[in-house]
Parts: sequence; structure tokens; C-alpha cells
Amino acid sequence: MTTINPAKAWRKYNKRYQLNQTAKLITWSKVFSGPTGFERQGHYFVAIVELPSGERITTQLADVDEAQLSHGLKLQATLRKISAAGADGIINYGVKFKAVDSKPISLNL
Amino acid sequence: MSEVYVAGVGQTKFGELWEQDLRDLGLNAAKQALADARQEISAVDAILVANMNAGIFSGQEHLGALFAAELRTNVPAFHIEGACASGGLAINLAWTMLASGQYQNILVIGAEKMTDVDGAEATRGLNSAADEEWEGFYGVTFPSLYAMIAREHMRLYGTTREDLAAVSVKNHANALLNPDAQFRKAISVAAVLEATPVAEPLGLLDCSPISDGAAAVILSTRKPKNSSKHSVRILASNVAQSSLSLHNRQEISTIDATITAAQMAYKAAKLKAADIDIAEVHDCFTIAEILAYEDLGFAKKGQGVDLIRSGATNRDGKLPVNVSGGLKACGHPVGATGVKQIVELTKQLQGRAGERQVQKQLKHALAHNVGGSGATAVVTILALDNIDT
Repeated sequence: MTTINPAKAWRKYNKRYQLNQTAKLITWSKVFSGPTGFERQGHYFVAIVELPSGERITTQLADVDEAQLSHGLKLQATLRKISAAGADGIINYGVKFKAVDSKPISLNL
Repeated sequence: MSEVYVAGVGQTKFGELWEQDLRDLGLNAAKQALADARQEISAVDAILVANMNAGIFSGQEHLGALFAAELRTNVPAFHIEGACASGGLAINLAWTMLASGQYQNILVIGAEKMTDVDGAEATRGLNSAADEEWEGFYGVTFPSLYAMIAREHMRLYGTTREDLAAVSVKNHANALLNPDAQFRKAISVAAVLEATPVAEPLGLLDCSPISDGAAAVILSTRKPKNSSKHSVRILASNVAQSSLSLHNRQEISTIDATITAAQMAYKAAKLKAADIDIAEVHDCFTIAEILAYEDLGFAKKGQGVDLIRSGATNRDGKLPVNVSGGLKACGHPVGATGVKQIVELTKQLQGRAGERQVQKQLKHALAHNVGGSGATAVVTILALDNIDT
């Protein structure tokens, strides 16, 4: 897991991207075996997306409908929990991307 | 500039070696290399230790001092780290030190002890080779980085899961003949396709394993003493860098650092890709061997799969690749890998690789070692002296 402390978190978000950001999907992977901090997630999706500026970033995908995933899919930014809290107790939040027309996933518990 | 010879080589078994720690492994390989070179440690005037992650995996740093002390010498000793390319970087640096005339005889040890930590912790350690702030934070793993490369290669060039699987099948078949290999087990394309998914589209049998192991070489400006073996010389060794993060790469399915390092090495060696007779390439994941074929110039971009489909890179093919079993099946103790490639190619050039010896005449060999998702690449070209071809 990425070790993070308040100063590091502040630096990170101070230069991170705005939530109204859109992007398009370039490539992705469904991860089944994550590092410390992610090991309790059954699986999650990592992706490289391209912002309107042409810049590319690595991120996670949220609310994924797997059948929908394809190169060029239009995405929008959303704030989500990234990984479990470490010894410092800080939960890592960050910007993920979801399909522009995605619907919230119901768990049907 | 001085000529540089591979005077001696050594390698431990690769695998899950519970009875040996980092120190045992490195010393074992070093002593084999010294014995092979018919040298005492007093002849060595510097030590380079390639290792990626001993701080996390073993709680040990200061590795130059560790191995110098264990070998009872006080010559300068350095720890070289460049993720999975640590071994290749150490070879490159030793060659540069020797070529400069400052040193005459250098011991290069590559060692990694990875199985004392659990899988999640090993993944965390390896992840430190990625961009921690921009990739690692999101739970990106090395399998997932290469999976994203594979998906892009599939989209652009029509590469299939079966093509990738064929790389793993070939390298496992090669490892069957290597007594030092981690996996001496033949596998089928179907087994690769059905293996547990790790990071789609890659499954467990697309991935190199977590391994313990070490390799060592003595590089020297003096022609090796052992005249029964033809001497092996380093013709060229080049390093190139690219972006640390995959997303900043010019093209996701090309390792441009490999292209740059290879072009520089071919130029320095006055050779073309077609002159290479045998290669050990960095198959950390199956897709990485396909990329290596293309980026080293063995095939045009997008046509790397033709070499695996045609069998050209099999042990008895036109260009045998990863006869050791590669990272996939021989194993991938990360710091050892780039050094092991030189060990394997030296043995093959000198005709002493035992059962796995390639039968055709070999003159030029190429080692290709990559760090991270392609941020560092090292290409080293070896030649066998005194052979008319």
C-alpha cells in the first residue's frame, strides 16, 4: 500500500484533477490480486484514460459494466475510496472515472 | 578502450529456496563464478551487487558491504538498483568501469530473496518500481500494467490470448532441460488460457513467478585463463530510459527504451538484429516477449507474434529465445535476472549448457533486461572469439 500522511495527501490533491473532468478510456485491466491495502477487494479495474487536454493518467474505473468497456468509452470523474486505511488511519480517497451514462450499481443484498 | 571478457559464471538454482537467505544465495553464485574463472577473491578489484528490494524483502540494505565482508575483501563494492533491470545495469556499469581502464577484474553478483514475505507484500515491494504517486496509489500492479499493454497490443495488431500463451508454453518446454529452473514442467496453451486470472487479460501462467536465486559473473580485461573454453567478449552494452509511468509512454504497446538501447548496441557492435544467433529477453509477462521481438528488431512492429507462431524462437529454431526458460519458467529473482542472462548466454556460446545446449553454431548473443513497465532497458551483446563463421 502507498503510505500516506496528511502532508502527502495535501500535496497529491493540490495538484490532482478536478471532479468535472471528462476523459476517454484507452486501456484497462481487471485486477484480481492486489497489493497490501487492496488485498481485500475481490477485484477492481485499473485504467489509463486520456483527458481532454490530451494528457493521459492512470486511474481506477468505478461502477463498471464490463460489457460496456471499450477503447474510446466516454468517462467522467468521480470521488471514491481508493484503498483501505494503513497504520496511520487515513483512508485513501481519490478520483476514479466512470462511464458517462453509467448507473449506480445496486447490490441486491 | 579495453576489451572486456566474461571470465567466469555462476548461478544458483532458482525457485522457492527456504533453506537459503540472500547472503547464502549471493555467496553461492559468487563462489561458483570465481571457481569457473579459476580466480581467488584477491584478484577481484571491485564488486557490484544487483538487487532490487532487499530492504523490503529481507530488511537488509548496504549490500556492497555485506558481500565484500562475506568474501573477505575490502575492495570498492557498490549496490546497483534499477528494478528488474538491476542485473543488466550492473553488467553495463562493470563493463564501463573496465573499459575505462580504472579496474581490471570485477565481480558482479545479482541476487534476490523474495519468498520470505507473503504475496501482497511481495506485490507491494515490486510495485515500488512503478510510479508510486501516479500508478501505485491506484492499486496498479505489474501484472495489470502489462495487461494494459497486452490489451492495447491486441487492439492495434490483432494479437490473441493464444499467441501470448504460446510464449509461456515455449519457455516452460525450455526449462524442462534446465536443472536450475524453477518450473521444470511442460504446460499447454489450454492450461495457460484456463489459469487463474491475475489481471485480465493475463492469467497466472502469463506471469513470471516470485523467486529466490542469484547469479554472478567475473568480467575482466584479461583474456580468461581457461583456454579449453573459447572466450566470450562483451561487444556492446547500452542502457536507455523512458517515462517511469506507463501512461506517459509515447505508445503504450512499445517499449521505446528497448528500441533506443538496442539501436545503440547494434551500432556499437557493428551488427544488425539479423546477426544475433541467440537471445535471452525480458519475458516478465508473456506479452513482454512479443514486445521484445519487435522492439529489438527481430520482427516489425505488430508482427512479433509471427516468430512465436512459426516456431522461429524455439530452441531448435532460427533464433532461439529464452533457452534457459526465461523469466517465466527459469524464474525471476529480480536482481539476479539480468546477470543470469549473461551466465546463460556465455554457457551457450561456449557450448557448455548441457542438455539444453543449442545445436547450431553460435557467434553473437543478445541479453535484454527491462526495469518496470519499460522505464529502463539494457541491451548487451556478447560474441564468441576465435570462431570462424
